[in-house]
Amino acid sequence: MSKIYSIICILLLGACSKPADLVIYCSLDQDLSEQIIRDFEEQHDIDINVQFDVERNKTVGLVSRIIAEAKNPQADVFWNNEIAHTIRLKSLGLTTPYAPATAEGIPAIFIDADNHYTGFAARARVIMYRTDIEVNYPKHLNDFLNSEYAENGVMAQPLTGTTLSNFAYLIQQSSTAEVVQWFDDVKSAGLGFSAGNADAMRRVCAGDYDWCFTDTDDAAKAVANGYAVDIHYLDQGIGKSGAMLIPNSICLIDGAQQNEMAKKFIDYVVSAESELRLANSTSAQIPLHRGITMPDGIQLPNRDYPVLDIPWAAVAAELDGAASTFQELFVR
Amino acid sequence: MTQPILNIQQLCKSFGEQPVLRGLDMQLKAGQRIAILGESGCGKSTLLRVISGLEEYDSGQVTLEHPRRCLMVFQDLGLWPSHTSMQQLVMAAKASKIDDAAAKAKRLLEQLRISHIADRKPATISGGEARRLAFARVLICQPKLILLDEAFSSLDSDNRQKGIELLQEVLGLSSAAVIMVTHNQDDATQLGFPVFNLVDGQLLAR
Amino acid sequence: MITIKSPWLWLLAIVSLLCAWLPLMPSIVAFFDFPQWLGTLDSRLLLLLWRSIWMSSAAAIGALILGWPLGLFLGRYRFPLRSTYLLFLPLSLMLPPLMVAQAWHGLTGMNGVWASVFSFACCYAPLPALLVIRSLSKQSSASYDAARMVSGGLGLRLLISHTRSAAFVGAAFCFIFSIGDFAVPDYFATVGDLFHVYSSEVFSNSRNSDFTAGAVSSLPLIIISLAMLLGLLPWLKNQQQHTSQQCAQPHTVKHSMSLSMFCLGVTTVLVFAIIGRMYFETGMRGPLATSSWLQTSSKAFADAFSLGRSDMIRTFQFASIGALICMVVAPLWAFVFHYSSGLKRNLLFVILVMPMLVPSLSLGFGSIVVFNQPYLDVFYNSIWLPAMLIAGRFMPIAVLICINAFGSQAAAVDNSAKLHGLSIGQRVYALFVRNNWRACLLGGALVFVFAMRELDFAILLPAANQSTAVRYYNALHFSRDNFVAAFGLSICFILFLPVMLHSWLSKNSS
Repeated sequence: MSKIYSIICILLLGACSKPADLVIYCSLDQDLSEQIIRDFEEQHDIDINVQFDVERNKTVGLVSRIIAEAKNPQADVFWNNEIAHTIRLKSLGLTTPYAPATAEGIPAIFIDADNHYTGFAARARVIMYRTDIEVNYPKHLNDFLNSEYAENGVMAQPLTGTTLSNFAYLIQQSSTAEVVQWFDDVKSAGLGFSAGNADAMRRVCAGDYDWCFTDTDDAAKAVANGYAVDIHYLDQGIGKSGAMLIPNSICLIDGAQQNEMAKKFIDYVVSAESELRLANSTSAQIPLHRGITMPDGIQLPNRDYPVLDIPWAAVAAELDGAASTFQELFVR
Repeated sequence: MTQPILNIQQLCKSFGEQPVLRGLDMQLKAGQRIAILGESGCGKSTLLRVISGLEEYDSGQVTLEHPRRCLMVFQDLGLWPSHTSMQQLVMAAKASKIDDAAAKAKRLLEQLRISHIADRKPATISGGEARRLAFARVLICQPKLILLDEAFSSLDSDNRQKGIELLQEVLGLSSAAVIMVTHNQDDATQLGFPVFNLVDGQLLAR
Repeated sequence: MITIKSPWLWLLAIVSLLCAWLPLMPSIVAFFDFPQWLGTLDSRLLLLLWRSIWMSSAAAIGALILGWPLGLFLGRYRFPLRSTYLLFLPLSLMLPPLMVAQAWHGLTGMNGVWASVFSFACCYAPLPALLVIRSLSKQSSASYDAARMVSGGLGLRLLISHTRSAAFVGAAFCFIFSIGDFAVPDYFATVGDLFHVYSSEVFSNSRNSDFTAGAVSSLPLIIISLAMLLGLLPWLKNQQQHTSQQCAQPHTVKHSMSLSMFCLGVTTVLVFAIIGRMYFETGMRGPLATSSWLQTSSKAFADAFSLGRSDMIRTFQFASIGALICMVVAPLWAFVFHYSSGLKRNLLFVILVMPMLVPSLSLGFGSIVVFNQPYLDVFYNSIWLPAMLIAGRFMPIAVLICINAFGSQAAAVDNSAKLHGLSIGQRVYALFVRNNWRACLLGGALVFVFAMRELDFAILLPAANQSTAVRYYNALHFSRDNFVAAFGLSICFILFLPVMLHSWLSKNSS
């Protein structure tokens, strides 16, 4: 027993640590973002405390944590892997304006008019389909209603993440009733549902389905793992054609203690160089800077495929309501 | 006239609906030694537990002059399994604020002829040695009242005789008062203790 | 009999208050909305609740069916390879339930409700098994041998009645952990027909900015679990007490090869098959991959060690401190329970187990509300906060094991200590803990294992965020499947290494 207590006492001594120079909350995949953050840490010889998120358990994660910590903010910067929840933080008055100089070249639709956040490095909502067999995959969201497509396809339940944002957008464009009806119809048509985008991707890789509705980064991972799949940028337009791009977003937290270093970090992350690093990673994020040389395999938005202009602020306002509606619909 | 060291008045104790002690009265003077006889389940052990404070009672009064000097030798001895004989004695003595605990413990082990088990734990000693150790642990605390709960009930006739001799030897080392409960009249007779019967929750002199 | 005058009981009250009840307060306040919430109870929620109850009950029965005989055989009989099975048994507790689910799906293609039940039973069967083995190590040699000499059947009946409460405590924990887990049902729902359980509803509610909605909707689960644990308490206290100093030892038996085969079968289901499948997954790749299985697997392990090293150390730190707090405080709690009864005991029990029964997210958010204050910044960012929460949340596991141990200690041991004037501290630490250190260690070890697996409040607390569970689930979500398998295996083996070394050294020294 005494030996065990001694070992634990040694551990306790190692438990002391000094406060960090910069605190970053990051919901982008740890595998992709960690090295970018550590390089910045090394360049500026500072100590960064990074806090990551997990979507698998559908936790409220970092966004809810920022809201809960509002009275005594701990984070300096929030690097979000999507944009709607960042807008939610802005509407709660938890962000502070900052316009990074390195954002020049990113289209204005991805940057907040009041400079509370900057969008960069996007994912597209796509159809990933098998190439080892002949697959009849949907080209438009409405094709999901056709059982010829639906019976062989799978998508994540719209309870969280990008799928929730995607269908909150559709609610905003049409109505809750129409989207609920759409889900009833695609279920009747035989569409499969999975817990998340990665699960949908895995089931296609495993051969359970021929295609799935997922994000480009999940599809890129399947390709990197050696599966015979390809992607199609799904047209989700109502009236006007276009695929949906969901950018990363970054913002300064109101009350941030390390303001100057936090701003430098934002400059660093939204720069074309960082976008390219993310584009060259296994998740193949889509750079948004105009004129950037696209890495092989990544198609240029609005040149190679049309992109929808998403009214993100309005979509963010729909999120909570959409989440409750889909919870009623799917959690049963 | 000497003050009683134990005074019990109108003691009542029930377990659920079942009354065990019904208005029991009892007095014990310093150094007085008695045996209480009764059938199994008549409340003998309960009476000892109430006197020692291990059991709450329903009504009446129990007054002990030296509550911290009232000790019990349990039927199954209650030795502390993870302590050596010496450690048991020293720990008990220190808890009773006895000075020079280690030396007294050593002397007591010698007096009871069990100094060879000083560094051994209960699991490695014989039944007889365990019994001596249990008495030693009580004696080292310089008790004013010793309670003996069925001290010989688990012994065969040979060992019972040895047990009684041991008890006589042990009690010779102390001037404490003793209450011994037993269901065997011979034990009480051999020890020469005055015998009381516990019948219907009341104590009756024989 | 117990008064709050003892400084040890003040220590107990203060540690419990800090570890568990302060962060719990915001959820407790939210519970007052329960009547209002009841108004929203509809057929959808009732169906979810019913499904959760029967699934968790079935999982608990499954854990009993697998774990009880395994524990009985390993604890009481000698047969070929017994020490190997004993060595590997704790390993399955170190595997995250989701990993077990994925492994079994990968091996058999199973899916749906029953696959979920089976996975939970596999995950938690070691709990009854370990508790039964511990209980058998305290069985009186005399009473067992006496029964065995009458007939083998009577001996077995005595074994069953002696280990019953330990086995049921293990099964009860299986029920409680299963009913609160939704990752496993969620997984099996996605690989087959879609279904949901009540905990999915609780987690979905927790997603709202008002986290208390999750806490309120979890109340039905809390009440059910609480009732089950309260029902177990008298059983635990009324353990068969033995007066002999001699404990029964494992003995040889006829049909020892059949016993060995049975244990091999169960251990394969609980451990070997899962480990094997996970190892296979470390090198799994698609048909177009250019690297071989071995290259993929080696890279996954290299990544696991290089990326996860600092997370492992940090997790190890706060999990160890949490377990240590439990090892110090749980025996005191057990002592208090041993000497309390009726309403007082039940109230104390509710206080003790509530932090384990509320959703982990609620506890995490409660910590933010209570401890995220400017004057507490150092504490809020230190590993002491997650360590304390772990201690508060998983304390009941250690306490129930200690209550069980206290119940099986001869009453005269503590009674004589009390009459000799030993303080509560001496009675608990010098006597009970010293005599039952294996039970305390088992309690601490289980707390440690559950702390290593804790995800939900780990995400929310600064010092726990960079932990093995967060990295594991992060990689899982972002489909780093090779890494997930390699990282999971690495954690298991690093935790398992001391157990193996201990076993090897004790074999060599004997």
